Amino acid sequence: MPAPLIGWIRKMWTTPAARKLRRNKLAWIGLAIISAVVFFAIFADFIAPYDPIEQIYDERGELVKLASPSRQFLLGTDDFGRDIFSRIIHAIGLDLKLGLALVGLWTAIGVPLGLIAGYYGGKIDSVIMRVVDGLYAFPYLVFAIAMAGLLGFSLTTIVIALGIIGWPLFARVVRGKALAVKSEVYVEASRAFGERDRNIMLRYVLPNCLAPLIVIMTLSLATSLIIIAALTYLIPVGVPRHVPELGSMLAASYEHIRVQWWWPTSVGLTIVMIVLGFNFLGDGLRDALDPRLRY
Amino acid sequence: MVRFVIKRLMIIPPLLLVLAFFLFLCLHLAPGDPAELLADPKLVGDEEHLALVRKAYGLDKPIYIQYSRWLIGWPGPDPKYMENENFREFYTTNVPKGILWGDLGRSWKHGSISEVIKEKLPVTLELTVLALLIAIGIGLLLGIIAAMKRGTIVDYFSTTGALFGLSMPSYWLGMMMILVFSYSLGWMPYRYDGSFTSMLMPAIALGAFHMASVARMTRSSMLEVMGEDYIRTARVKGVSERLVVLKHGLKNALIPIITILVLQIPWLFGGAVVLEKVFSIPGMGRLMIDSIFPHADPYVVLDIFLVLSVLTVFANLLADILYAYVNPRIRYG
Repeated sequence: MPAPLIGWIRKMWTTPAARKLRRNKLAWIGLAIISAVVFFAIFADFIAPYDPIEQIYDERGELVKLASPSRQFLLGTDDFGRDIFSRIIHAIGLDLKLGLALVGLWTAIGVPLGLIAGYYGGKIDSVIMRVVDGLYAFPYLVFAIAMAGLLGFSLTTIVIALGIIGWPLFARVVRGKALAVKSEVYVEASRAFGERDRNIMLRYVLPNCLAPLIVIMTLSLATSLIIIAALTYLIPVGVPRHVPELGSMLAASYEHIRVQWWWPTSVGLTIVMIVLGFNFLGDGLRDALDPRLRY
Repeated sequence: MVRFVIKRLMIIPPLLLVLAFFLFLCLHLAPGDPAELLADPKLVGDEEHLALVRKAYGLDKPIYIQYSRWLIGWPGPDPKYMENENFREFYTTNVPKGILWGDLGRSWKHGSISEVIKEKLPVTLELTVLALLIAIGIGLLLGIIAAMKRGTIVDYFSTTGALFGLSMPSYWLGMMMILVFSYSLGWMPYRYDGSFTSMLMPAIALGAFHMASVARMTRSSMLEVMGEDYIRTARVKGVSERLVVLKHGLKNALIPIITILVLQIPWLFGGAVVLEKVFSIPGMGRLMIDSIFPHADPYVVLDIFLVLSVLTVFANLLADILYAYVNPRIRYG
């Protein structure tokens, strides 16, 4: 590793916030879970014993449907004769990607609006914050279901529908920080030097918003995974039947819950583990970076 | 206070109209012919019938005209169309003539949309209100106990338990409850049958997340409040511990708890939609899903969104009033 990078890491490692984070046991557990999850997602092809869409036949040429867990199939097989364990491993990657896309969308809409509202203040601020307050009072999921339903259910429309009005939290947090930073001396000074507003916002205001942003992005990833799986569970037709995805797998497994109880249980536990990981880490980050942030 | 609430809620009607218009737009952006969604399913191939539908819903007109016709019933169809017997009959029975005036129109699948919503709404309300009551009641209790027994094993378990509650998808929790309490133990019905008992499990599953967040907030808020001077004063005065906790402590700790509850009200309805599927509850959520798949019923979907939005806004209003009652220091400006 290049020397400046090592120096930077050493510096970050010893900041008060990092020290606080290092002492937080739950944050470590969260980090461990997330690392494991990411590892599974990246190396799914090597870890999963079977192809997630392969229908498995036994030696007599019959489809191995709804098999119980065994050494051959760790979590049994589903109603199409596919290995459930392999499907879960592959689904993790897809759901993570969808969650990241959703949080990215929230950030892309919420952060600029929050920056503008906080930095400029006045009329613009009150208009943006009114809309933010208003959106908080709407049944968000119902809107997303309606929108995705009217557009035609698919993974893309689900993410867009959830993204388009889910950003108020991001705008509010960034706005609060921007409001506080804008009267700092260094901001005033650079304005006096004739620096352009856009540059000030990006170079001085935005970096100050990073700490709370990291916290809400981590915690929002947890929420986004739950709501994406909720939508795909509600209307599994949006996901092609062969694609491994946790919410639609849950919907498919529910029909067999009486006999194949391990199927919905393991799919759900996977979701809970991932979400728990992000919640643990997010809580730790909040305690270390911005303890007063309420989320 | 009234002025503040009114000011805060002023944005809601325009926002609602914009969001509804947006949904309207989605209907037209979607691949496929909207006329086919609005036509009599038996006559979908019939070009003549489709032409009639297009005229009646104004699908041949720009989208804002269609929107305005749906919203306030104006501008209506060309008077010369109305002379046609077929058209007049179709228009008067099927097309909504202004949702603002309470005419939601008719759907081929469900009949009168206002009738069907009137029938489904109480079920959903029962579910959400029960969930909210469970969340507040048990959440407060757990939070207070955790704060009073800080650092003990009780505190540890309820705090970790709350974190689990926040990480558990309600629909999966519902499934697991069905698995354990209905199929294995046989204590509870596995689907909604109209009785109170059968509403209990879905309400608990729906309320669990909110219960966890209320418990967390109560704990931290109580810990903060119980360190205040007036608590010590009350104790010195000889007020019983119970009264100190409940009256002096809890009442002041309630403020942030209500704040977080208000933020979560809108989530209740979304969660209800999902749980209605898990427990086969014939409420608004079921109606919504049935109106999306397999045959889309766009106006029903829009109406459900509007009804649930208006309800959420009323819930917010109620919470605002409660907020002012709990915290008289607040001056809304």
